[in-house]
Amino acid sequence: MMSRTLMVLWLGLVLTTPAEARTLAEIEARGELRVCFSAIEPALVRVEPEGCTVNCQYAGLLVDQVALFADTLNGISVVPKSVSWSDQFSDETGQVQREESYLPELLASGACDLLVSNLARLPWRLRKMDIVPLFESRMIAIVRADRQSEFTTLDSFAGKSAVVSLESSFHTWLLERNMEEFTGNPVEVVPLDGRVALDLVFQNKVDFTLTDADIAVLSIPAYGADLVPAFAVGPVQELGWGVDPADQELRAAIEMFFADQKPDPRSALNRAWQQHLGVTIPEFEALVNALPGTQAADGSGKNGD
Amino acid sequence: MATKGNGLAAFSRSLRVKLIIWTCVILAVVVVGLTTLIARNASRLLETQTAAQLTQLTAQSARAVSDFIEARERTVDLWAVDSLMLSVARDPGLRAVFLPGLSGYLSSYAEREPWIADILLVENRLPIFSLSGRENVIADPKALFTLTDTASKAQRLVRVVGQEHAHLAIRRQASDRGQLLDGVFVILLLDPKVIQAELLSDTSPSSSGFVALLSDRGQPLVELPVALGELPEPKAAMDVVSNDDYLIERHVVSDSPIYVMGVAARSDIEAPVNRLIYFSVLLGLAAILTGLGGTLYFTGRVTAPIRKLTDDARAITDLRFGGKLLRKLREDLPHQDEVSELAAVFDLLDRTTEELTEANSLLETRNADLDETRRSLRTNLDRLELEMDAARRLQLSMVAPDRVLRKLTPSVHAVGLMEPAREVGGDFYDSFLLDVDTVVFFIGDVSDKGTASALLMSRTVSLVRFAAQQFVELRKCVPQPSDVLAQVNAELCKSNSTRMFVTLYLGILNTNTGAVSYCNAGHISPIVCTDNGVRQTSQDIPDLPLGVQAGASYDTHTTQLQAGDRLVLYTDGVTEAEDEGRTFFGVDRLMEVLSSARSTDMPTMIKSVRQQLSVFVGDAEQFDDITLLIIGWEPMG
Repeated sequence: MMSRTLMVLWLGLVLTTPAEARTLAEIEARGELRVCFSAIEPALVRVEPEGCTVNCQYAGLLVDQVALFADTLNGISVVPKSVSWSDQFSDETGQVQREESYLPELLASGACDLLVSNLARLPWRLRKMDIVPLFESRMIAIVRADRQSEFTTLDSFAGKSAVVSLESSFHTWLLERNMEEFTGNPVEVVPLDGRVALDLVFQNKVDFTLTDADIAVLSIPAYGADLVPAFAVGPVQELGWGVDPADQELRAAIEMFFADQKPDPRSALNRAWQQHLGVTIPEFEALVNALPGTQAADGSGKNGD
Repeated sequence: MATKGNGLAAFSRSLRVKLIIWTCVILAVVVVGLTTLIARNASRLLETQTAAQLTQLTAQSARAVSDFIEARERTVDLWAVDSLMLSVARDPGLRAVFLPGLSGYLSSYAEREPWIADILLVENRLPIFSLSGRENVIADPKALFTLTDTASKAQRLVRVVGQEHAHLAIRRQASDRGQLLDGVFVILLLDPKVIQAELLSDTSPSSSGFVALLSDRGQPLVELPVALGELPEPKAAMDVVSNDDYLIERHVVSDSPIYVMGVAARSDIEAPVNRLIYFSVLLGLAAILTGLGGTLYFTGRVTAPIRKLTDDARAITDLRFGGKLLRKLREDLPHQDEVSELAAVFDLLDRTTEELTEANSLLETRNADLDETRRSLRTNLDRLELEMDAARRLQLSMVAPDRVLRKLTPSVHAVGLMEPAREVGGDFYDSFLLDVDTVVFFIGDVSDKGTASALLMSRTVSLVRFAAQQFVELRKCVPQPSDVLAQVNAELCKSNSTRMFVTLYLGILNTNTGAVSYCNAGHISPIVCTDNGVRQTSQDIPDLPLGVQAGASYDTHTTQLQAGDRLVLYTDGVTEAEDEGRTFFGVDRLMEVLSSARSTDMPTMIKSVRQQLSVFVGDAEQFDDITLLIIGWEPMG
C-alpha cells in the first residue's frame, strides 16, 4: 500500500483547475483529492526530483497518510501540490494577516482540499481554517552538539539567533517570547525555509533552531552527532490537517479516519508512522509527553489558547 | 555500757524483733525465689516466642522481598517490550530527541520507587541510556550480561564513594512483538540499602534486632547495624546461626540468590525480663516495707500482750522465786524471746502448781488427819468433860452442899457457896464437927486453877481434916489451928514439884463459948456480921501460904464471937470479881451487901451476896472461883 502510494505519479496540476473551495461531495464526484504539502522537511515529504513543479514524485510520511485517507474515500485519487509554508495561511493577496479571519487562498480557491503539513492548532490559524488534530508534539530546540552546554534553559535563548520557518508555530512562539521574556534581549529570528534551518545551525550560522519533535526525530540522524536536541520548549501542541471550515463533511471524514486509525497500533496509519518514525502515533505522543518540561497533558498546556 | 548491753540483749530476745526479721527474711526469700523463677521461665518463654516470631518475621520478610523483586521483574518485563524504550534503543532519531523524555518517563517511575539505583538501556554491551546519568554506575558492565534472562541476582557491581555497595540487578532482553532484539537489554539496578530501609526498616523482631538482606554467600548487602562476626555460607533455604548475643535466622528469597536474615538481640529478650526483675525487686522491697510496717503494727498488737504477760510473769517469778532464779531461767532458755521466757515461767509456775497441788493434797490428808484428831480430841474432850464434870461433882461433894444451911451443932450453922471459874476450881471450904464442942471450919484458895489446883484443893481438904482428926486422936485434945496448918504445910511441901501453894484460913470454934482460934496462911481475913454491923476481923499480917516453905510456922490467933454473930469467909474471887468496866467488886461492896442482909437467914444472906455479885459482874466473864462460907454461932438458951 505504502510503496504503491509513495511511488504514484501525480499529475495534479495538470488535471486540476483551481476555482473555489470544494465540498466532500464535489471531491468524491470529481474522484480526486487535492492535497497541499509544504515540503519543509524531506523526512515528512519529499518532492522528487528536487525543485520539481510538474510531474513530480511525492514521498514521505505525509504522503502515505494522505494516501491512506484517500483510500477511505472510495478510492479517489490524490492530487498533491507543493506549497510554501506561509502560502498555507495567505489570503488572496498573498499576505498572511494573523489577526484576520479569512479562508486561506489555497483552500478558498479550491487549489487545496487539504493542508496536511502537520499544522499546529495556533489561534491565529484557527481563525482562518479548521485544523483536524492528528497527534501531539512539542517544539525541540536543536543546537550544535559542541554548543549544547550553552543551551540548558529557556533563558539560554536570550540574545541568540534562531532560524525558523516563516509563519510557523516556531516563528510564532519566538515572536511571543521576544514580546515577553526576551524583551530586553530578544532572540534574533531568521525566518527561512525549514529545509535549510538545520543546515544553518549545523554551519553554526545561527545559534539554534526550533522544530517539531517528529521532524527532529527524522532530521537529526542525518547530521550524525553534530546536532543534538537541547531541550523541548513550549507546550504540547496538537498538529493536524487544515481544511475549509465550511466543509464539515470532509472534516468529519478526516476525524473518523484519525479516530479509526490512531488508537490501533496495527492500523495502516500507525504502521506508516512506525515505518517512518519507528513508533506509532500513541507511542510518539507518549514520548512527547515524557519529555522534560512537558506541561500538563490535560490540554491546559497545549496549543489552542 | 551495761545498759547498752542489756538493751541489745533485750532487743535480740524480743519476739517482735524476731518476727520482723523473720518476716523480712521470708518475704525476701519469697520475692527473690519467685522473681528468679518467673524471670527464668519468662526468659525461656520470651526466647521461644522471639525465636518463633523471628522465624515468622524472617519468612514473611523473605516473601515480601520475593514479592517485591517479582513486582520489579514484571516492571522490567514491561519495559523490555515498552515501545518507548524500544524506540529509543532502536532509532537514533528517537533516541536523540526522546532520550530526555525516556529519562523523564523513567524518573517519574523512579521517584515513586526510591530503591531504584539506576535503569539502564544497553545495546551491544554499551549503555545507551542511564537514568542516573552516572557513567560509573556500572563499574563492571560485563557482570550485567552474565545474568540470566529470567532471574535477578545480587552482585557487587560498583563501588560508590569508596565504599563497597552491592546492587540488585534485574535484566531483561528487549523484544519487539515477541521478537528478541539482539544486544538490547533493559537493566534495573536496585539499591539494597533503600529496599531495606523502605521495605524492612519497620520489620524488626526486637528493638535492637533487624532484618537484613544477604547475598547467596551470606554476605550482607547492607551495612549491618551491629557486628555479627563471621557467619557461615548458607547451605539451606533456611538456617539458624544464632550466637551468644543474637538469635539469627536466614531465609532464602524464593527463586533468587539472596537471603533475608532476621536478627533478634538477646539483650532485647532479656530487657523485659530485667524490667520484670527490677519491677519484682521494687515490688519485693515494697512488700518488705509493707510487711515490715504491717509486722511492726501487728506484732506490736500481738506481742504487746505477750510482753505484758511476760513482764507480769517475770514479776511474779521475781516475786515468788527471786531474780536469781529468773536469770537462771533465762540463761537456760532454748530460744531467747518473750514466748520462751513466758513458756519457761509458765512451766515453772506449772511445776510450782503441781507442787502446791501435792502440798494441798498433803494438806488435805493432814486436814483429814486433823479432823480425825479433832474428832478424837472431841471424843476425849467429851470424855474429859464428863470426867471433869465428875471431878467437879466430886470436888463439890468434898465441900458442904452449896447454899444449904448445915447445922453443925445446935448453935453453929454453916452455909457455903463455891462456883469454880472452870469445871474444877482451886477454891475450897469445909466445916466439920471435930468433937461435940468444937467445929473446925476453913476456906482456901489454891494458886492457879484447873485440874491440878482441884487435885491440890482436894488433897489440902483431906490433909486438913486428916491433920485435925489425927491430932485429936493422937493428943486427945483439940489442936491449935497452927498445929493443923503446920502439918498440912509439911505435907504439901513434900511433893510440890509444881510449886503450887495454897492460901488457907482455918478456924476452930468452941461451940459453947463462941471463942474462935484461927490461923491465916496467906488468906483474906473474914468479915464478922454482928447485930451492930459488919466489920472485918483482925488485920494481922497473914502467914505464908501453905506449900511455899517447908517448916514454915503459923500463928494462932483468937477472937470471940457474940451470939448471933456470923463469920463470913470468902476468897478473892468474890472481891476481885470485875464488871465490864474491869472494876473490882471490892470488900466494901461485899460488906455493904452483908450489912444489908445481916438480918436475913444465912442462906438468904449468901444468895444476896451471889445475886449482887451477879448484878455487878453483868455479862463480864468470871475469871476466878467464887467461894463463900458463912459460920453462924447462936448459942442455945
